[in-house]
Amino acid sequence: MKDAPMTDETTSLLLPRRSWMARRALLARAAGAAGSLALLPAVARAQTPPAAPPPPAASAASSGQSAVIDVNRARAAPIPIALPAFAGADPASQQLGADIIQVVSNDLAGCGLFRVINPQAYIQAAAAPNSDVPNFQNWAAIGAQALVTGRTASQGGGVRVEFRLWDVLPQTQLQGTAYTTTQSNWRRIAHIMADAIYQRLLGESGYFDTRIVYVALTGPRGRETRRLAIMDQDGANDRTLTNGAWPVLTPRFSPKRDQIAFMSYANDRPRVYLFDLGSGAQSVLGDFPGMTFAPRFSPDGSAVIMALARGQGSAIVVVELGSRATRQLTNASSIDVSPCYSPDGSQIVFNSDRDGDPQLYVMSAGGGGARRISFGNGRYGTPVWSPRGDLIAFTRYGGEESNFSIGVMHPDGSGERLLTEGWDVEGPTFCPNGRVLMYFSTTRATGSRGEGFSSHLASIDITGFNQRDVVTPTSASDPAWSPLGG
Amino acid sequence: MWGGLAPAGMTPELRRGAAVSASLHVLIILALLLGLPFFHPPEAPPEEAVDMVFQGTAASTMKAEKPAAVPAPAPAPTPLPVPPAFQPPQPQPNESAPPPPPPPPPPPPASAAAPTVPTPPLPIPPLPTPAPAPVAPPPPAQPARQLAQTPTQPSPALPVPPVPVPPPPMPSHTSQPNPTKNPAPESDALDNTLEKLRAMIRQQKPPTARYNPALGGAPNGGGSPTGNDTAALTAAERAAIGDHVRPCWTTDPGALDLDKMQALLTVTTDPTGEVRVASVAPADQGRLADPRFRAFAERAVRAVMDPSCANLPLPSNMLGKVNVLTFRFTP
Repeated sequence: MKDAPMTDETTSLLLPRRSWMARRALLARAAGAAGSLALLPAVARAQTPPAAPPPPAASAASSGQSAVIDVNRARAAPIPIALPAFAGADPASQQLGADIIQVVSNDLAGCGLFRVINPQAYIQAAAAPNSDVPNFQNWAAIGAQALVTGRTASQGGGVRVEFRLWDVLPQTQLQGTAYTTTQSNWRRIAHIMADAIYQRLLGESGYFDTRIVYVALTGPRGRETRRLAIMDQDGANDRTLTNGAWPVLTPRFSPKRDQIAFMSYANDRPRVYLFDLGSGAQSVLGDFPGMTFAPRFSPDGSAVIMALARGQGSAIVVVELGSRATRQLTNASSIDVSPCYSPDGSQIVFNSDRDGDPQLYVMSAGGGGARRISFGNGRYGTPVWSPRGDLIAFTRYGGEESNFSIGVMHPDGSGERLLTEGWDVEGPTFCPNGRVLMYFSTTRATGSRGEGFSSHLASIDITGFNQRDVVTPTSASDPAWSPLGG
Repeated sequence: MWGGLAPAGMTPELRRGAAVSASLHVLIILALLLGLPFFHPPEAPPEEAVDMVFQGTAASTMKAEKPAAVPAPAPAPTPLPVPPAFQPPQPQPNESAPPPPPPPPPPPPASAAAPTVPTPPLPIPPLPTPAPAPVAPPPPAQPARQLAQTPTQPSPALPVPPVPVPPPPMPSHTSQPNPTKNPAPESDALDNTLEKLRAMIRQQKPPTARYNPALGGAPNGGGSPTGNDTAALTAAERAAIGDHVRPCWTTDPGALDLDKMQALLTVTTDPTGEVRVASVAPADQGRLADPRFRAFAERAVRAVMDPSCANLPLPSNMLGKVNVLTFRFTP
């Protein structure tokens, strides 16, 4: 494999980067890999146009108010939140509370929508005892708008964690919840707490109690060992799922079960497999004469849609997981790859070169009625529909002199925005609430033996304001986000 | 014996009359000298104790039979319930639950101990929490103002209907003496003077003052029949207040359909112009069931209550009293 892999559904092991998405190359590259290190200084292009406020007169009339004081042109700013140490009856409980607070703090600060106030600025080192109302003046004075208090306690071999979320300025309690679990489950409790805070203050469900499945890369470039790996969304609890005997690509989480669909070259027969996270068992999905690749689950988890190579082209097929019945949605007269359902299951976005260059198309879930939605410069690939339905993320390659970009557009093709770009960025996957994209980025080799090449995971929110690297033990590619709680 | 005392020229008749008169005087003098020491005036009958039985309390006995009539208020708007405090509609018993009996811990999830894939623990029902800190108590006059609020349709712009004259107060035993009959113009009797003074003070005609649009007067200026003082502000004053709050107004730019969001708040300021209470206006409270709108509206409340923005630049004529204002927050 040469320089730049364009993996995900179509993969890229066999072709040089600049030939990506050439017609027949698309199929040949179904063996993808990626590699190398170092972060590219990706450019976040947040192009959210400021919403024009409604005309005061018109909106005043519509609201039935004869006179109102208009406040508009809001700033995009995170919510200042204070997270003092949890109370605990004994040192072990206090340490557990501190650990939980640290995870919650990392989650909230990492999403970019909260500003965790430095504990050194606290007027009081800890919140008042849990049964008391906090002294709100002490927290308002340091600029906190939200406050989290809580306590931890050992309970019969397990732990009990309570927390309360306070609105500091109106001096009201917004949430109060307790969890009881085993000691080893404390990180998950912390993520669930962070999700509860996120949902209560932002009105949308969180995404912290999730996992990422990805392809871990080890070994010298060009001969990497590619294993399935899984970790928490913050990088903790990383472990590998396969032994690396055969290359794997494009893992995808089931939305309903602890199950992963992925492509493997096992026994030199590139096929889509199912991996059961509970038992570790693997099984090939469907009995097809040719290569199958680029799988994705349907929204209800009952079927897998994927591409099937036939002749000089590829078709989109659906396999019901219960009956293993198959349906072919497109013919193989062109290369149709990378299918992805809309969240309501009524439509499918996919990548096809039927008009020459690879572009994005949307068709009904039953096949037919495909219409093109991408019309920008360059070629498009790896589309993925946002779980909240409002956006489709994609990879765009502008040409020989251009970098790769990751962007979003509305399902009708309007409002295209590029969020980040780099020498090679691709394979976006949405978090469960549709607010953050994770992808992988590779850097160009600078030495004759591949020095300087790297592949790593990164995330960016859909506004483009918050881009972060995701730390993994090894080089990584092909991330896929689990559903919430998955 | 008296013959020696009689004048020489006195006739016998006169002499006899003078003797009789002298005798009578002597008798009277003797009677007084001898009788007075033995004369005692009749004694007053002794006082008899009377048992008194009190009926009713002192307060009720002191109250006037008919309270003084209160002048009828201006066209009485239908009293509205006080807007409830800003609380999420989602039932969260923990937010107002009284004292904290420790909730029974739920059984740990069966799969929590699974070796490979930990299962999320089930969140127990919301904690019974201590009563949240009471919201800063509104100024005393606020409830009355809120009661007077009415979201009825905006009144026609011009002209301001004259304030109806309150009916004359009913006479009161304590404050209003019976009217004097025929108060004569030239009389100097005290009652007549007081009656003339009351007649001069009493408003007999509707006020004739009107707002002046040329000077920036608002159609609904000069009062707050709905309990909302926003209309008393000029457009420039409202813009200045909006500019003052804007630096504290933040949103989540990635929220779904953010550009369609809009929240109306009812804000109460104290006499110094500082925001004390802010809540979602009644017109928008039905939308609080939408978590996204609730989050949007709560950020608006935080903006207007932010210490750096809560001191509103109200005009001087609105300081010194409690004001109720309506804010509209848009992205």
